[in-house]
Amino acid sequence: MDKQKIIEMLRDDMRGEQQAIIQYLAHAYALGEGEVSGGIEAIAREEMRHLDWLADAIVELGGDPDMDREPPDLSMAAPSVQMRKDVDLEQQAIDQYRAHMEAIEDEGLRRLLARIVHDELVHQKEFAGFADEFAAERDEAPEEGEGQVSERLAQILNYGVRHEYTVVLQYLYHSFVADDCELAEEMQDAAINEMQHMGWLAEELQEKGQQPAFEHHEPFLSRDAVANLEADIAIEEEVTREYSTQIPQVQEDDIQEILTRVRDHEIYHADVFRDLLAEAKERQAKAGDAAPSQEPEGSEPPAGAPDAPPIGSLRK
Amino acid sequence: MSGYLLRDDAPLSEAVWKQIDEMVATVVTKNLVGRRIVPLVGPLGWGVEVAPLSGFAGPGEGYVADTVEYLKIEQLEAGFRLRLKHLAMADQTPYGLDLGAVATAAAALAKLEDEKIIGGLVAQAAQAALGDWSVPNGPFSAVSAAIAAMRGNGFDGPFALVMSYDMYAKLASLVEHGQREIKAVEKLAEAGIFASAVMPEEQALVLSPQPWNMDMVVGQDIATGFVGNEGMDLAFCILETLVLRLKRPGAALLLS
Repeated sequence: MDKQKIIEMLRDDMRGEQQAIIQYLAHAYALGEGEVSGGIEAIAREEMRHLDWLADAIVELGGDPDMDREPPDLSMAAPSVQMRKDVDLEQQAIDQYRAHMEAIEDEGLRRLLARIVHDELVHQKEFAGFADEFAAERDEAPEEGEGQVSERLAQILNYGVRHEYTVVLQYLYHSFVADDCELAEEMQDAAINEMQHMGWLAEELQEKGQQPAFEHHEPFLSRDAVANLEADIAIEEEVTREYSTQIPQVQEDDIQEILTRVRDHEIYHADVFRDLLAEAKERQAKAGDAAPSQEPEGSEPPAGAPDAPPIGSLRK
Repeated sequence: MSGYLLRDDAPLSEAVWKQIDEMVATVVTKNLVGRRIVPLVGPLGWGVEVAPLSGFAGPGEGYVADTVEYLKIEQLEAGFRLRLKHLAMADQTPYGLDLGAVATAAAALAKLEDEKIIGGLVAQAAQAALGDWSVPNGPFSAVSAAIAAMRGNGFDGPFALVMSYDMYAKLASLVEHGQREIKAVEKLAEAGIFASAVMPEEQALVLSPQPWNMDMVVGQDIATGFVGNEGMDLAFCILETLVLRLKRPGAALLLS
């Protein structure tokens, strides 16, 4: 089979995995804290690992990982109904993976897809169990939200959810395309941490009876480690400024505490990224892409090579 | 900056470098259109790879830049080669160094830049009707209606008008009662009327090119670097890095 076709199939699978992650997290957050929501979040984390494996396979084939998603079902319903939707989504994924396994001849890829199908079957069974549990409990509604949330607070929390969702995708992609193991690992850690932030903020919204907006801004996606890290530092600095402005505007102590904790994590991420950037620049310099050492500081260019005159603006 | 471009490594005299740089500057300044219109930020340096672009929310509790997108600053380049034999000829004969290849590469780079700047504005512009530009008053009506619509949406003058060469020829040829249409349109487009080879045919672009509406961020400004020896040739590259930022969509209106 044509390599491009295989890449397209795996990209389809990535879109399905991201759809599943968001749908499952939304359902978990709607349930509030508890054993079942913890179980669903664990399933979402496994789907994230699938996303990682698929992206690795795509990069190995010379393709570009797909950071879009199929539309998740974010409508509100009784918990047993939500769990049935998740059973169906698992079935959809199982069918798609099986079809792709039949079409793809490469043994390694077939093994990978078979492994994912196995996970999805286990997830499906877990969701079916949750659905039965809720049905037996007659779909007791999760603890009623406090129901009162100011427009500004909803705005602040949704800003956070959107930002965190964006950086989850951005950092995951940066980890998928990283050519250095430490960088890939650090970016994945950061993505997982941002997913946790998204959860804290979304849960607060759900508790207050508001549906979180699971939307994201355009992530910065490139294959250049230096450009990626510069964008990552810039976005962390931007969100740190934004959270710092928002924190004093929040009246609720618990939310203020969450935002402060998230903000402090972002400061830590920016510091880690700065170190990674210095290392990435060093690697590039060694590879000959950039060679700052070729121009010793303060050295005068020899008479044979004047500086190129700048063209600058031509506006009158 | 020069060091990264390896200019010192080229076996050229200061005088030859000067000739090359002057040729590049002459050709690009004659060819570039976008830079005559769109404000420039920088040059920030070759190593700068992203530029922030804010997104605005409002009116709500007031307009605010509440999102930021990081645009990749792209590198554009065009190569040329000089034959060592030609350098020797320039030294030993009265003919001077033939810089035709330099001029061709510089023109190619200028076109690439305009494809990014003018082409980028065309791609992101709002749309309006072009009308009939083959009859007197057609262009004037279309441009005045476009400017009225843009002013209505909060975009200020002076406005600039960019079009393809065929449209420019049409506009320049229209005369009625001894009045040239282009003179009337010039009064509307106070920031100038420009023809560009990268504009699609039968389209005109009206711009409110104020720095708060759009700009171009330049990392490395246009400069010539030395690539290395290729046999008995010396290879060079004219390069720059830039990105267009349309900060307020609606500041570009495409008549088509």
